[in-house]
Amino acid sequence: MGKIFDIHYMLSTIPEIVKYLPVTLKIALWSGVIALILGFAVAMVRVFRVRVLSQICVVYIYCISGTPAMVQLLVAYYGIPLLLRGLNESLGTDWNVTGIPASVFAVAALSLNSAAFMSETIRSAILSVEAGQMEACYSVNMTTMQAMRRVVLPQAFAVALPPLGNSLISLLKETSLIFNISVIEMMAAAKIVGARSFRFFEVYIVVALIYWICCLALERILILLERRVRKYERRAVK
Amino acid sequence: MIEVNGLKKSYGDNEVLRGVDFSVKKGEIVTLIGPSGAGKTTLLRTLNWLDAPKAGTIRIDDARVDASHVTKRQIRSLREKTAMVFQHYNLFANRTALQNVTEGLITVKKMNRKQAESKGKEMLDRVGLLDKADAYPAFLSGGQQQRVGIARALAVDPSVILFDEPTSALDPEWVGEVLGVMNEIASDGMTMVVVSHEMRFVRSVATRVAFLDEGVIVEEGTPE
Ligand SMILES: Nc1ncnc2c1ncn2[C@@H]1O[C@H](COP(=O)(O)OP(=O)(O)OP(=O)(O)O)[C@@H](O)[C@H]1O
Ligand SMILES: [Mg+2]
Repeated sequence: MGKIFDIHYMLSTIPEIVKYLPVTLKIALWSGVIALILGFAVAMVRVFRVRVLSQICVVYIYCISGTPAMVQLLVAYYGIPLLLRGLNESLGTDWNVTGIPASVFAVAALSLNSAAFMSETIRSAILSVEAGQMEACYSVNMTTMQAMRRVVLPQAFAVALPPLGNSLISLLKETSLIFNISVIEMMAAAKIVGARSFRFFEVYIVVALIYWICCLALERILILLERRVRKYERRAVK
Repeated sequence: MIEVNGLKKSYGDNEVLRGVDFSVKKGEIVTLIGPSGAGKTTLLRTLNWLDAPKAGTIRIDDARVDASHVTKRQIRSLREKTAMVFQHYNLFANRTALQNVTEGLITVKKMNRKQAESKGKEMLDRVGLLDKADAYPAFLSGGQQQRVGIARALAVDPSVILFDEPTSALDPEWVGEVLGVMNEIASDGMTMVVVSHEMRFVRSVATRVAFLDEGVIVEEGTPE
């Protein structure tokens, strides 16, 4: 235990930590997909000002954006089982509350969190498409649905892509919180490995590097995608 | 062919149209003039129900709409009879020139792609832009964009094309080419209602001029 920084030890822990990368990625992926779908749905509800639902969505966004992700995670972890138990008691149903894996709560909390931000991004992207194009759609007798699908949403997607990409990257990084609700993923693995040797610094550096590589890869993918969807824009050469 | 009776439209307390009676016969080129804020744009936009009037009736061919009880279906039948050319072109930014023209054909008229494209190219050829078929709007000049706008309107075979100041957003150098195209489709017999201050157009093409002021049509006459 003499060395200040033991690089050989650090390298030797990589396999043990990387083994849990799939858990992290799977939770990030599920949360990302659900967040995108939910965020889109919330955005549409708000753009079309669907009665009641629209107000509910506003409250939801306020709640999420005004509280820390960590707190939301814990509230979901302790709150959802209570909610289900309450439902069981009042409805006489028999859902197995204790059998739900913690990763489900993690996905629920992360996707609800991310969807709130994404919905705002998507909503403002939709509103950024000039109303005149919608009118032009109507002028050739397209329906609102057709206009949204063929003209407005593709442009909104191009506008929303960079901030949505940032949200996805944040989401990926926020998976590092979920060890707090006893999901065994990379952070938890690192803690366990570190506790054996009391070399926490080395194992956290490993975790940092893995996250960093994942974020870089995601960023590359997003940049390539962005180039494809913005081909109709006229931009100055850089 | 177009028959408008007692059309009224307000924005809040602002009564913009106060009972417009207006008719257009097939093949006529009617220019709508009047002071700024008179309601010219508003009148044009109620004709295809981009703005909903609060009272009055509109008939275009066999499509009839009464503002007091209007259905979605009637609105669509009105829009089927009309097409519009906008002051700021309003092209679909994510679609090429050709796709702008074929969009209505494919999604509304349910034409197959090949037919739609061949018709779209024909329309682009009419406005002299066949060589720009694959260009996105952002890469076209104002005049070219407006000609695509005209091709898009022509493509859906409307009974009437509504033009709202089609040249007023253009640099002077591009006005001529757009007026040229409008002249041509006018001489092909298209019925047109045109809001325009462009005296060249009024004198050379219009068959009738209607003067809108204070929310009613106060005077109609020949271009002289
Ligand atoms: N969406 C709107 N909401 C509120 N008021 C409007 C709206 N659109 C137009 N108006 C008002 O209606 C009146 C008529 O406007 P309109 O655009 O029809 O005039 P116009 O005759 O086309 O004028 P211009 O020659 O300047 O284009 C104006 O007083 C305008 O302020
Ligand atoms: Mg106007």
